[in-house]
Formats: sequence, structure tokens, C-alpha cells
Amino acid sequence: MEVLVIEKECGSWKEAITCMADTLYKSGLVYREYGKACIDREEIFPTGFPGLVPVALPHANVCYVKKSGLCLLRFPKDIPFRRMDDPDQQVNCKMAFCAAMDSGNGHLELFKDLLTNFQDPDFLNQCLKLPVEELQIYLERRLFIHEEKIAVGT
Amino acid sequence: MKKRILVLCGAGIGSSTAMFEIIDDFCKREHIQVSIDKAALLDFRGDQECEVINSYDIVVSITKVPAAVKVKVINGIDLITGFGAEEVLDEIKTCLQA
Repeated sequence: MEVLVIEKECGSWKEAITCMADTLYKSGLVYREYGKACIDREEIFPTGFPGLVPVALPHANVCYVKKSGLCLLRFPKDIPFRRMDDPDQQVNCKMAFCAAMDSGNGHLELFKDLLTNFQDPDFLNQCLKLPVEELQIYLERRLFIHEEKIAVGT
Repeated sequence: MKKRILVLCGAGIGSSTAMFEIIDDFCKREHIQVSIDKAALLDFRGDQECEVINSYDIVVSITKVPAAVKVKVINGIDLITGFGAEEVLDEIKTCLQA
């Protein structure tokens, strides 16, 4: 699974999702329709997560994914996303993790892994502070322990 | 009779599983006999399907539930945010004992 990290100022959550989807598309990980599918899904089931550091977790159905990947977009200026637990409220997000997984199980494992890490202030701090290139390496090391464990176990 | 909990998330990817495990661990720790299922709201469209949700004693959700859901709904978001998971678990416990 490929990890992409970018930093870009965006005007809205839609722009942010489009930016991540374009990045994933240019890397050959998703189909062109992936971005629109993420936006459509976000409209119905928003993903703004009001954690220790607020983040958003946009994603789309596995059918839009060619090869598993994750794109982290860090915002220089917070972007409001609607809250997953209450779409009538917004949460100002510092970054978004756009998940593109090619299997339902892959999605499940990645989200469980991310949600666990979102409770760790050190992980969040690294995500906010590390330079983009270093953060990419950090995430690869940090997030795929689980994948390795499965591989060893089978 | 064992009470039944439904853990609900929006699109059914990960967050309900994470909540399921936290609630399951808690109930085992507290020796609470309970049956827990998880589901995605995506699978419950329309009033007919809400009947299924209404067959549970408690719903723990991190997504907004349709108005047709009449059973007790607890917002489970803090189980996974790192803020006040104990309070949510206490609320679940209180409801189970009611």
C-alpha cells in the first residue's frame, strides 16, 4: 500500500477531497471517478472526526480503487468538515486522511489502525509537525505494522 | 434475557468495529451478559429497515440515526476520540441495567 503526503491550502472540504483524489489518481491508485465518489459519500455520511486533533477521513467504495493507497493532506489553515456523529455541526480539521483501499477488509484494518493512532498525541503531533517527506516514511512504518502481523500470522 | 446492543456507523467501515471491540471488552470486564451486533446505517434505508434497529435495546451510534429509530440511542463518538470513553461506557452500563 502506497502512502502519499501533501500539504496545500484549500478553500473547502470539497476542494480538499478533490486535491487528494487527484494525487491518488496521478499515482495510478484510483479511477478518475474516485474523487466524485468520495464527495458524494461525504455529503451523505460526513467524516469529520472530532478527536484530540480533528481530522477528516473521506473515502469511497472499493470499486473506484485500482491499488490500495492513503493520501494525507495537511492544511496550513483549518478546513471545516461536517461531523460524522452530527452532520449539522462542523469541526475544523487540521488534516485529512483519504483512504483508497481495494478490499473491504483492507479498509477495516486501515481504519481500525488510524482510529487507534488518533488517540495517541505523539502520533498526531508527528503528523502535524514532520516535514512532508519524513512524514511519509513515518506513516509507512507506523501504519503497516498490522499488515505485517497478518502476513506473519498466515 | 440478555439485552441486545447495536453498534452503528455511517458507511460501515472500521469505526463500528472499533466501537464493538471497546464495548465488548468493557462488558466482559464488568461481567455484563449482553449480545452485541454491528452494522452500517447505509444498510438501513427506509422505515421498514428501522424496525430491525428498533428491535434492539440500545443503539450506540457515531452517525445520526433516522427519526424512525425509537429505541435509546447513545452517541458513541467519544469511545474512539480519546475524550471521555468511560462516560459513554458508564451510560451504556446504566442503560443495560435499567
